[in-house]
Amino acid sequence: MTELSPNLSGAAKAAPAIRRRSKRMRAAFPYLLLTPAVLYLLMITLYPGVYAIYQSFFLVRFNSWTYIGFQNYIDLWNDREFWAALWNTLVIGSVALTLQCLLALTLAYHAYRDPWIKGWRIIFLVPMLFMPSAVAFMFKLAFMDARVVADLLMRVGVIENNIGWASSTFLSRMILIVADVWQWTPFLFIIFVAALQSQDEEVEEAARLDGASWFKIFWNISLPLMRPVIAVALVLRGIDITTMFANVFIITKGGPGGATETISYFIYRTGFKTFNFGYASAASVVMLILTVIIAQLVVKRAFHSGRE
Amino acid sequence: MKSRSTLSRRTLLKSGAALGVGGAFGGLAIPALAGSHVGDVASILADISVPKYVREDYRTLYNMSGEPLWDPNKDWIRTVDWEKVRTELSGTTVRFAIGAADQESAAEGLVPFEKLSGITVELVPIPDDSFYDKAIAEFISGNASFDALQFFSPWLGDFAAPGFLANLDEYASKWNLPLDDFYETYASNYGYFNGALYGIPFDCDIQMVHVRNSYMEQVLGGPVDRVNSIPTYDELIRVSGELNKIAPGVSGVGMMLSRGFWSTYTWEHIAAQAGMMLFDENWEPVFNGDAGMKGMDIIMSLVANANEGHAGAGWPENRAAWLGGQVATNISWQDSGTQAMRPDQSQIVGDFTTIYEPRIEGGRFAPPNIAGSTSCVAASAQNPEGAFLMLAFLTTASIMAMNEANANGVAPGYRSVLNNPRLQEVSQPAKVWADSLEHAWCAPRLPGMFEMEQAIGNEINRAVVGQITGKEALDNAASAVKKIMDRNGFYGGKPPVEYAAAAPGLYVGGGKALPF
Repeated sequence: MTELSPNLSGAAKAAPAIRRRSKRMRAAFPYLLLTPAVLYLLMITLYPGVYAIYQSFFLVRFNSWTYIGFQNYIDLWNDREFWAALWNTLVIGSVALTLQCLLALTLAYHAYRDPWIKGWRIIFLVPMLFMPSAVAFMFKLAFMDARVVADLLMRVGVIENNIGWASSTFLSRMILIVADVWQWTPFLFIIFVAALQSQDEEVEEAARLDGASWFKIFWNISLPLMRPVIAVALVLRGIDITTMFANVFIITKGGPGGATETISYFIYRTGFKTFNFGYASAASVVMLILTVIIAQLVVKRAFHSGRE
Repeated sequence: MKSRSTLSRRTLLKSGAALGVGGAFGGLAIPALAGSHVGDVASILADISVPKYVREDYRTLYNMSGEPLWDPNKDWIRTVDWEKVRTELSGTTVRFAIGAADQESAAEGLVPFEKLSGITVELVPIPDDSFYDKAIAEFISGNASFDALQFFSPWLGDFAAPGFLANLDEYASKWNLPLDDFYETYASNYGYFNGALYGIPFDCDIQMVHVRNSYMEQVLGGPVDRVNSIPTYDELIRVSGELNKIAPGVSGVGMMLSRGFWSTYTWEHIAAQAGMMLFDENWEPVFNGDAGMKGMDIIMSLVANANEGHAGAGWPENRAAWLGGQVATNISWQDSGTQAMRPDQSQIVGDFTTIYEPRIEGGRFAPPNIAGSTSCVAASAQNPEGAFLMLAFLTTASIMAMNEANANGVAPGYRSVLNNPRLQEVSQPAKVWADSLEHAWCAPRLPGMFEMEQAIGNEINRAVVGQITGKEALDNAASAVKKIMDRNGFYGGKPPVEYAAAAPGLYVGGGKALPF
């Protein structure tokens, strides 16, 4: 030790002083670290978006691009199938979302203080772990190809003949809604449980001591406090439902008569079945704008109300 | 289409539409099988035989003797000069785009070609459900990763018109491709575009009517007659109504009336018998006239007796219902008949007959050549001649005949095959099918045709489920088709396809005597 000390000391003296980065460099450093990730994100989100907007002003036939201004948008405005797809998306999406929200809220409120809540969360996660295409095939088999549901109903005497699921607008939409509710209610359940668990237990306790029923506590205390969380959850799920594709593609193909054709399937069909890429891009842009507007309105309103 | 061992129309259709070229963009090409050394021509050809190619259980089932199911004098692989092929092309390579699911079987099937020609085949596997998209992407790049591909024949116009495909006239002439042995409807519509040869017909389809013997005999009081039991569509409507009540769980008629091209094909099938043509000589859509409407009226009547899934049924659903015994009559492709004979695929073996196309008063006998697939060489191919020879090998009469015997859904289009008595013994529809082809109707292969088929079918499906009337459906479809054609360069003075070049293939039965 003693022998080494002088050497070490000498080495320390000989070492160059640590270079301090310039002020400008220090300011830029975090941005430099972020740059690769940001560039990657821009590449996979912004570039395709800008490309779609650009392409929406062209008539695209394979390698032939012809500039047509806003013609694709004008055609969309007059396209019955586009409006029908928007309507279908709204109907299927709003019913599915409402059911999911109600179910998830009910389940979450009854489970969040349960001592087995961790177990419930795992069980509820299971449907979300399935691949959407596998879920779609499962419901297609159950309702249509394998006639499982109809067969069960026939065996218990509810119906006499098989059901024409694919021929009925109501039933076809119902299958899509049931499949979506089955798979994605757990998503909302988990978020709602977390929101309820984060609330102050003492507030609830005080209300209970004052004689409030569980429903009053939920309605007047828990629900208002959860409003921003519910809004965000619904926006996330709403965006997801708006882009519903796998179930439509696998179960109904948009039938009967286009009654289950969602906007995503319309865009897919236009782009990849009829190869009208410019038109499909225009529909995507409209879809994007609508989604952003609606999401903004919902979030703004919910947070505003929450502050109140 | 339900091909298991080779690329075919239905492999692609059943997955939503599309064979797929190229998943493997980016150089995933692999050799067909290791070793492409040339061998003795005679012994290699001798091995391309029924005992070596047809499944043993089917050979046993039909007491197949091993005699060829084809005419050796018209089998291209037995007539081409392989020494000349080797001299000119041995040592070269061909890249073949193929649906990924069929990669293994194709690799096996191409080994004899490699040994006969000395050409090495690299397979470029492509996901089946995105074949079209990938093919287009590769074509547009101008540097496709493949030399040859097989695809759904309605796409021929889409691929040929922009110049994506190589003209094969010179090679066909040089290597004596037996084009005259193909039925005219296949050669014209799967091979030629605007008067030039771009494809060799591959999966050669026709739609037919199949009936269940046991149920029909209860209604008719006697055995089924291929010509007279259901001579007209009016009779099919009546009989299917009776059959609808004959057994629980069994519907009178099965049809494909799902959205998109499925509905179009069923409607074209029936309306063609009423004399319907899709376009006039100026490429104006005329299918919404009386003949088209007659087809719609018949469909709407049949719907009342159809199985409950008809409005959502494409080929897979219809096939399952037919082979599973859920329908008493069925409007579908010929291979619904071939496959119904095979116990491993069907629950109705021995209990069905494929009948001659029912007629419509004031119409004509015009069995519909619908869908199918063709095989082509890319315009950017590095070895177009080798690619042509490989496709000629794959589509040769003997191999196509054995595909039919294997009931794999890849159908032959040669006269010498379908009229072979031994082939007719193992393919119940073959006799009626062969007779029908001389009178076949077909839709033109135009740029945008697949898109038009989708648009027409969407409207027909709306009518089938009661959203609009049949007339509204056809009028809407005609408007949509006109727009699509306009977008594809029609009506602008010089159409991309001369009507005179396409017209002969659209109906080949004019002036011919009926086969029954």
